[in-house]
Amino acid sequence: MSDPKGPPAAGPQASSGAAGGALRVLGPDERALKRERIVDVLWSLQKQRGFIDDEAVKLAAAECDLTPLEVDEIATFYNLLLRRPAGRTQIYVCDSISCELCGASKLIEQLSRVLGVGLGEVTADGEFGLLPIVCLGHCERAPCVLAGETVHGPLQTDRASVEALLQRIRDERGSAQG
Amino acid sequence: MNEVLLRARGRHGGPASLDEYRAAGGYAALPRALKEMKPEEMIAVVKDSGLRGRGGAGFPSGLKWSFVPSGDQWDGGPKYLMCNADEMEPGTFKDRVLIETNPHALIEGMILAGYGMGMTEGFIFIRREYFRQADGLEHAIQEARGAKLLGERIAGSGYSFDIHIHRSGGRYICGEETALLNAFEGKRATPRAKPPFPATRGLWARPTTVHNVETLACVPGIVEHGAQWFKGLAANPEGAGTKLYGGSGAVEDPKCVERPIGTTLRALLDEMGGVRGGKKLLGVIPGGASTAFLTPEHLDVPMDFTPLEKAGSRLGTGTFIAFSEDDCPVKGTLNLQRFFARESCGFCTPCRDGLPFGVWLLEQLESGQGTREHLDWIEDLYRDIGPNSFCAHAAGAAEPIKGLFRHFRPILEEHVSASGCPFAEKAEAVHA
Repeated sequence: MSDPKGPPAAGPQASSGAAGGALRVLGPDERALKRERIVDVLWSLQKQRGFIDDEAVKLAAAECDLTPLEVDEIATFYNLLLRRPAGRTQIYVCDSISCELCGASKLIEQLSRVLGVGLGEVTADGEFGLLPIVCLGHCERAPCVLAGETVHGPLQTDRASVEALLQRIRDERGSAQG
Repeated sequence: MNEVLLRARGRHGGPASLDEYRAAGGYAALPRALKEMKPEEMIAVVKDSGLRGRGGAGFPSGLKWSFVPSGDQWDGGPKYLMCNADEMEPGTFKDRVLIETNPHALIEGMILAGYGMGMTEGFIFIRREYFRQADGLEHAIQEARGAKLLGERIAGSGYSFDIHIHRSGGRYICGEETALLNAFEGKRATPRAKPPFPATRGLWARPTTVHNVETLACVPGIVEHGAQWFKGLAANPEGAGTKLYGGSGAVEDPKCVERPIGTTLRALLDEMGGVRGGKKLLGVIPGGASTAFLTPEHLDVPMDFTPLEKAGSRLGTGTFIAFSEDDCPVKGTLNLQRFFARESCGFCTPCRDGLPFGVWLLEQLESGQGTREHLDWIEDLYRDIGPNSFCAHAAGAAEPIKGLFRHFRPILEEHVSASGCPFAEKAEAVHA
């Protein structure tokens, strides 16, 4: 963790060097940005801890010179930040229009059946969390899901295909960790 | 046709490298432009080119540039360029394709736009779901720095500029420019009051221009070949440039293609193999979730800002979503409204409470509980919430509703008279 008593968050002032002339270009390290980094800080805490627990909120607050309340305003705002346990791997299923027109509802049904959980739930062994998400921006590959950092699609919705998808996600996680 | 935005492609399907972009003519005009063109000349050529914002609103880009304080109006402090790569409009994937294919077009566009507006620094605000795309951009930025195209005194000129990437946490409202600035600053991403506009008080209360990815990628061609060349790229007389068009939903071969702006929906649909399964076209949403339905009678309308406005819709992001004769437009609109309700930031009441009520009303129709009164309530609700809410989110949600009532009223009434969705059985057959 960096020293929270460093130089005050400078933002505009830090790069307002020579007026009118060639302005100095600052890298992110020089600028001593604090609260601007909050989403990145929460993201790495989430990666370490599985989700953003209350302790992580406090750590992020210290790191970014914010109050825990201010951090929670942000932690609860974004789709990919998890304030509750959601399994070791989250499967985000797109349920927006292009995927819906290509069978997203069927895909969600099949995933629920194979995993034995509904949307917003975690499998009994804690392996997968099944979560809905809005348009993933991969509409030419509808229906699709995001798992880890990979978008999978277009997906078939029969049981065998969904089981094969889960295996691909497991394999990828295995290789990412190994 | 010759591709402009996608003029370079990586050899193995990945993003074009710096060398590949240069081989396609990229960065050729940059050094001379930075040395010989005055910033006001660059603003003038962008104004003359007729370039309009590709993020959905279609605001004239040159005019936007001219709002940024310069000369005596400028206090000499920092000014920022913010690229909006928070692509999350349902049905929209064009910026992702551009970043995946030709990231240096965006970087060169940002340098030139930065120079034109006298900006000191640029940022790319990208949704976190675009993991690989952000990595590719980071790599391209490193390449550009290594070649002295970013950093101090770019390409031997007196202009210094650098670009940094901000990965967000994924939320649709962050695409609204002032919400984006709040998100960037590490605040809860609710929109800001306007005025003041970002051009005078944006990021850290400094002059800021927020531009869509595709808009910025149009700039290198304009600076290199001139305003008339850019206008000449269009397929229709009032248009300017090329456009990244996407097609998804009930199309045979969904994809993103770069074509002259003003290409017709018929031509685009043909190129994508027509409607899936050889079915008839029921209608399309032409440019992402916040645009109004069009029907087969609009197949020959040029897909450009003004012609689509005349047809009662909007170009939006230019990525259309096709509905076949088997797809219920009421069910589709319910899906869109669930999206808008979920993604409302919750800041103002008409949007936060109105959108879920709209979802409930449409659910009544789909589940067979709908009455004629429900139809009136839906129209009234969406007429009221847009003008009474704080930003354009609810107004965007009202657009597909307008199209639904204008073009598909008989289908809406059938939901009432038949006590349910007349498409339900067809849908079962399609996705079984």
